[in-house]
Amino acid sequence: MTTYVQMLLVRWFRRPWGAGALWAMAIVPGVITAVIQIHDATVANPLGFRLETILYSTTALAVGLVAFSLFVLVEEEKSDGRGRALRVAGVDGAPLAAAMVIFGCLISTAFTVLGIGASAVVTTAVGGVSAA
Amino acid sequence: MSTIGKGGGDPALRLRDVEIRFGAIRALSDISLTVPEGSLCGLVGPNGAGKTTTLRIIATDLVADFGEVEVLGCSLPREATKLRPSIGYMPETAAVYAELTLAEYLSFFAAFHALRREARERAVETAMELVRIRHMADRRLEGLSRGEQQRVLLARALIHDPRLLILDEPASGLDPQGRVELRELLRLLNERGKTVLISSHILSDLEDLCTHIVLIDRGRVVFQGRQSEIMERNLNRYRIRIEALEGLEAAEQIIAAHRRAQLVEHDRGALVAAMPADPAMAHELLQSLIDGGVAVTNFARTSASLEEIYLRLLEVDE
Repeated sequence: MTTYVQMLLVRWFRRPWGAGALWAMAIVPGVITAVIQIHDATVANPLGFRLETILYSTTALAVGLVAFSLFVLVEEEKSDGRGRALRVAGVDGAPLAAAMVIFGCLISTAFTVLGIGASAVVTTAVGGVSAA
Repeated sequence: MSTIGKGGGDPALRLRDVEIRFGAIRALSDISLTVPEGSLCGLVGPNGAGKTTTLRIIATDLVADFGEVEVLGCSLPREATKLRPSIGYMPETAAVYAELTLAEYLSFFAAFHALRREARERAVETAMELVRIRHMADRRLEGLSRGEQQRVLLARALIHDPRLLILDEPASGLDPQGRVELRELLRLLNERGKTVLISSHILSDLEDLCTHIVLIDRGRVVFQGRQSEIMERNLNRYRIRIEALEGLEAAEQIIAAHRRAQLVEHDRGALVAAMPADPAMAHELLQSLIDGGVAVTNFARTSASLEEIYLRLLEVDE
């Protein structure tokens, strides 16, 4: 299973939409979080609620995109020669597809937490500078 | 159940009354065959005959609805997991990953077969050398031609050094030189003790290669036996090639008028006739040609190709 996951990730990262999904998953929520935090810390923010909504929507979209792209990757090989070769080698993609979706969700969450954490650090720093 | 390879080794695989349906379509009906270990067996038949389905059942990718399947002593589907390390399967349809390099692709499949790192690297090198694709090791698979991809698939099927190779149309997409090299490679692998089960539409390739032949048509086995047996079946017919300085048109009419001879084909300025294997009758035909003013320069028996015998067997089956 570990080898199949490795192979799937290599293939996924080398697909344009795989990289795109990663970008959406990791960078967009992080950047938006940072923008919100910096904005809140420096200026009065009447649009804060709407920005938060955008953040959560984007994160959900990114997770969905990752899950879907992994699902497509496994599904597209299931009925052709690649799936046949895998099954004969003792690898069944179906349960692994589910595992990869969960893995994608965890990674997405981790990146989002990292983004929030990073923006909090930035906010503290900016707040510190402002107070000084 | 008839058995191929009479006097051969122990069976590498045995199918008995195997049947499978896809919805309302019965893809295989009562397929029974036995292939001895160490043989190089060709599975031939027209499109839709059931070759790929048969191979997929043997390769553990499909489960038969009815019947018994035993491969290398393992009863399927019950012992599929036990069997898989001993078989190498090359599917007919494309099976490469465009995003991976050749070395990565082979290495992943070696890992699927639980080869540890050093053994894996050795296996990848060996397979690439064997199939002569070492120079493509770092190339992405998406850029390879169909023929190159076929070689890659063959290397993948060999990566774990299996006892039984199951190859579905391996010559498809190969150029003439590639086909010759494939034949040499399969012969070499067979000499090293591997049992090879191969399906192909290129019957002339199988003719030079296989020790055994299984002919499938509409989900049934029409013929199975040693290749020499299928060729001997044709010994009750003469196939005569006639060349002449002049008078080939007259020769054509004489053959057409002959009570038992048939014109089979025109071949580069010569005629090929078929007739019962009777020397007296052959002499009679030759005499008729000479008497008819045909300047015969060559009147020789030739052997029928596997393709002709195959077509004749299919006609009889219909």
